[in-house]
Amino acid sequence: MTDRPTLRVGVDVGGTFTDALLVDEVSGRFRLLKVPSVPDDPSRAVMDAVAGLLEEERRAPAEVRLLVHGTTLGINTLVQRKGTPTGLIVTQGFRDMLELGRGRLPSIHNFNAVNVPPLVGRDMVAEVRERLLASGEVRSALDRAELLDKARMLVDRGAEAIALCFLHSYRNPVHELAAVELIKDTLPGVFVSASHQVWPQAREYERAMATVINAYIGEPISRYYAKVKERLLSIGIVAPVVVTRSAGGVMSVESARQSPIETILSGPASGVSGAASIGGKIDEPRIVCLDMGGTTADVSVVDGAPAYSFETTAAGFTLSVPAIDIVAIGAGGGSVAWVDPSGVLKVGPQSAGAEPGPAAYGRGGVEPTVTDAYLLLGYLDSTNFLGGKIELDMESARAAMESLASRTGETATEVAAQIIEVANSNMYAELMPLLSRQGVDLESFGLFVYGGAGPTQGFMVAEELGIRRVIVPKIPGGMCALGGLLSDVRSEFVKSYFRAGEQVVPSELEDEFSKLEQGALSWLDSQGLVFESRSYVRSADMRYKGQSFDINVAVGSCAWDELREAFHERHESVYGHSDRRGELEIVTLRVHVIGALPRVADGPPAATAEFESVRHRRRSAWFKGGWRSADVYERGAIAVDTVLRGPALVEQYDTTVVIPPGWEVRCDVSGNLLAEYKV
Amino acid sequence: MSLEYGPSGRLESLRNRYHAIVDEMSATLLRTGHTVFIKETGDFSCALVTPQGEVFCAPTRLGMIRIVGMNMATAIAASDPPEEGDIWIANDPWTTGGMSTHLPDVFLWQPVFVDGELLCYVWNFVHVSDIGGRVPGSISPSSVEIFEEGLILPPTRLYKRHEVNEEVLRIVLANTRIPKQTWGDIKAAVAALNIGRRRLIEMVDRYGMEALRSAQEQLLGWAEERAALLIDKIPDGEYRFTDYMEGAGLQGPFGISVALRVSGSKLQLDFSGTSPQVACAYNIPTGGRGPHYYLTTAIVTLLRTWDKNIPYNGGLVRNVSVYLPEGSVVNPRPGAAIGVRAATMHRIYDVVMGCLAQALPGVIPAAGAGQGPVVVVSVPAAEGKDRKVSVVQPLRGGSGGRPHCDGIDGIDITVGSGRNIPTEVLEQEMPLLIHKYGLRPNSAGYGEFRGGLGLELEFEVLCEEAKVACRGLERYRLRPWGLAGGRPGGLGRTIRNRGGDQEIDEGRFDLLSLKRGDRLYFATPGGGGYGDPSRRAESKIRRDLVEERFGDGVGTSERGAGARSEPGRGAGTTPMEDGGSESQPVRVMASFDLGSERMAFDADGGMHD
Repeated sequence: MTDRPTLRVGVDVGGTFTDALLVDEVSGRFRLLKVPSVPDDPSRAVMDAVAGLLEEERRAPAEVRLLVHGTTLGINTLVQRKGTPTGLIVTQGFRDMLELGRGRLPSIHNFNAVNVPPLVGRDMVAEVRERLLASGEVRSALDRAELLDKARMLVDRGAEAIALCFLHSYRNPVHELAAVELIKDTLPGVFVSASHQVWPQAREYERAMATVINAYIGEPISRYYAKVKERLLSIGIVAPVVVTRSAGGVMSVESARQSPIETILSGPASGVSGAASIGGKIDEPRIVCLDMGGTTADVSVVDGAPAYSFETTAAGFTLSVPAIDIVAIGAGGGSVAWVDPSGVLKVGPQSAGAEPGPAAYGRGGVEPTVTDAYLLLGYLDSTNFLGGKIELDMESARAAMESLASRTGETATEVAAQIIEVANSNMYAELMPLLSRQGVDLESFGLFVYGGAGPTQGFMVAEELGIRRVIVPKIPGGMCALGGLLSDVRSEFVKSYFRAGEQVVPSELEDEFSKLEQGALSWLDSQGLVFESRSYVRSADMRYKGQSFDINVAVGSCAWDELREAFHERHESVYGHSDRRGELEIVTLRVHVIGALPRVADGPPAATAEFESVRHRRRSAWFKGGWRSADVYERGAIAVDTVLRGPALVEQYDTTVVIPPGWEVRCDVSGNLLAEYKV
Repeated sequence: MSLEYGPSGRLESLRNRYHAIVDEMSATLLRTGHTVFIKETGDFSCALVTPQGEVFCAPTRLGMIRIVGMNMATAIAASDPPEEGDIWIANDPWTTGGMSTHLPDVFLWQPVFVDGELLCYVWNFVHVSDIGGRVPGSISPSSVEIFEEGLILPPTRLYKRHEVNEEVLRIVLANTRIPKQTWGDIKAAVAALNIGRRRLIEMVDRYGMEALRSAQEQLLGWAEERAALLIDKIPDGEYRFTDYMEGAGLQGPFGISVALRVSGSKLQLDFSGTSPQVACAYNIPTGGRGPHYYLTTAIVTLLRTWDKNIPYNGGLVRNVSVYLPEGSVVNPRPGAAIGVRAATMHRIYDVVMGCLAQALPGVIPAAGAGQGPVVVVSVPAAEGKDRKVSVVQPLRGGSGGRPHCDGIDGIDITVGSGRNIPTEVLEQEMPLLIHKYGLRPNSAGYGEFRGGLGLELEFEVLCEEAKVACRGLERYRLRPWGLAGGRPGGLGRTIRNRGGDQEIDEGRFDLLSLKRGDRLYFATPGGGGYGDPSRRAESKIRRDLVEERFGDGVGTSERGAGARSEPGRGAGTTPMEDGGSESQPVRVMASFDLGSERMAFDADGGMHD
């Protein structure tokens, strides 16, 4: 034991399990532990998992140097409507900004369609007289007396936080600043959040939404992390805690408190960051990520870096915060198979979830699920699921399958095989349009599979898509926890700019970027961490004058000719055309800042040559219409450069890798399984 | 059980594959399209079509999703024989059996051959932003003939053996005010067809030609069978309903009448009694024969509401037949103007819903706002070139109250797929100041479950002058009806300089000229209410008061008991005196509250005046 802290712990709190992953950054040794989540008190599971890991590895709490935390707490608070009671004050005439949103119904062709109720009820939204023009010029002054009256009214009605969103405040924050000061002076103790601080960009609904969410979930998140720190302290961990971001990277708890909306989709995002990081190391920079768990499969594209989306959905709300573009498909191991009135087999979107779970869990589930099909087809070993912690009940799975088979006139095995085929085609139907939207050419991409069911279904999905390479990371069940550990500290600093091309003065533009970089620098300083390096990336949102579609262009030089050229090239690659005579304008300047944390050493290979990867047994499994004898391997016993040929099954604590015939799999020096389709 | 298709999951797998193809086509079109109409409004659609002309797969997510019931047989006959590498183009309603319903909707299709054998067609349309005619954008309510509405293209080869037909292209582009963007959108549609074709060929490699061919028929049969089971739930009988379009200019209100006949799993929509075609752009060219997609929206919505997993293809309407009198608004003779046909579609939806409401008490909502116009403003551009044009906002109203819950405030279900426009973006682009964009309190029909509120939009002109066009303003005179005791919804209004000395009620205007400082105010209709207002839950009343959605003692006729719950003449309440099948009972309808204005109108002779 040494006193020098070298351990990093990644934590991911999910609905069913809380994962904790311990990595020694010097030796690269790692260990994963999954404990059941505690929905009423999520920090308890975090503490239990971290304490359990340290004990299993016989390491001291003082050896922990950094704890990286990802959580769905923000989104849960939104879904359950359990945030801080919040009032919203807006420009007169725009009270229904939140409720109208962008005016799209979540389901069409449906008489019973309902809109998601706004986070702040209409009685908690107040209007005040004030108005700016689009240029930022004041048209009507802020009515201060009315503002205070309305703020008091909202507090009387129960608001503990007040969000402010005035039209065009991204251009000129004068009224919002005055309002913040007035409210703070008059109503101390009320949390005030102004839109120009949270999200200084045009589009009032999106900006108001970000501001309201900030006010609504900020306090619960801050309370939660205080609790986490307290609990960790109680087991002797004093290391700083950082939080994963929806757009990749991590930031301090204090920063998360300032801008909680940036953490809302952080769990799945860190899995993708982790996949991108591993992909980069093994010379697979272009991957499609498939994270398949119990209820959903999350899909995203990494082309060098993860693809981003500026319009994401959380708890039914459309948000404009940048986030790694992840599409959730309602197809997981728990997806329920059923037969429609015409006798056609369907799979999902309904899921058996964690409770009762698949029939094979033996907890009262009677409907056949994808997991039950895995079991019947020999993909899973009933005695070796999740390291033997759950014994799968073959009889219940078979009974469930037979009840379905009796309706389709097939055998239980045949219907199980059909479930897998339909599940694959469900993935195909969702994936192809997503990949097309991002311009992915499948021939040059690999499929990176993780999550509990990703490696089980992934090879078959690859065949369906026509992808010929599959990557199975060492810890498929701990990717979200790992992704955070491999991430750097990141943030983005933004300024509204609004200049037509001909008005751009390079020296002035240079100044603006420098100012943003200064802000970024002091933000990095405030993180309380030591960085190996700091870097910035400049970019600008630009568009054709008079249009409302911006595209983000990397800024190398501030010379207008070069910026214009960069815009046209980018426009061409995104939309397939550009108009070189069109007039341009710069809308927003951005500086993305990265504080690099020390690299984590590659772990020793899972097994050394002397372990000779023995197949410890064989099992019958169903492939391509018949039973085949498949070799069964223990993941931890597979040596570097071992080549496995399908049909084969690789079992490990967090998943089972199903390798169909035609695939050849090699274990690389880091313990990743790299597969190639040889047919 | 009529379906026999190998293993139980095979058909679902192939359905998924086909869906992936139309979704990928749509994504390609959206990504590569040029104009706002494509990118923001999503006014396009893609489909896969059997060699016989039925849509066997249509997208449910991207683009306009009504294409599902369109039969392409006429267009296919006009492009016979199919040849490898040919892409056809058409926007002419009359040579395509009503496939295109107005000239900006440009359809393209391509046969897909594998080893010399025809598998199916890939198909799509794009709404191009201008196809010529007398006004920019090609659509004006006051057009009298189609020849005012732009270039008419009967089915024509745009590509021959994968090579673009330059002669045709030159004609097309010479007839639009924006050739570059128009060609950009058409190229996006071509790219989508080509990606669809490529994916289909890959699918043949995997599943074989025979399997895919028979899957097309199986998919249609599957949807047909599911639809039949659902239609069977509608009680047999005949149900009738009439409602009115307030129309354009001198073409005063004209009626849309329908009789819905249900017999087992078959439906007939008989539009006898519908107004003769009108001398303005509100006619819908349906081709006159089949269950055209503009006629069956309410039916398809009912089927999808009942079963969200029902396969989405032309099989859904195989059991629906129609009768469309020649020379009527719903089957006009060649030459009729059709630009604003979508406005009439809203009312067709309403009358079919009116019939369904009688057949299915407790299932169907009251009438929604029943309109979907878009406010468009043009201002002088800098440097005195062309004028600058922008959409201000789509004018939606509230949806109708429902048997189990209130209607939706500010969004009618029929227009729920579009998006609105951020005020901050609009004010950056146009010299306008938006004073108000929000819900319109008290505008809905009251009821146990009230209708959804309409919207208010008010803007001021900040430049020398501005022209405002708005096509398809409706429900300014005759209210969205209430149902089962619910009150009718509020009427739409347009007021210039509201509250000022020179306040002017502009009503359903076509085109307005405004000067600097003028304000224009729109109030959109609220939905009709559902159920007896006295049964409204205390908690809902309180909530509405607290949230200032629906006040107490506001004294509007929408809330009060002003209008009698007695349907007016022509509403289809009286038994048919002639025609109709004798064996089928004519049902006495549920109680509609059409509003006092409609009753006065009916008493005055209604449409027959």
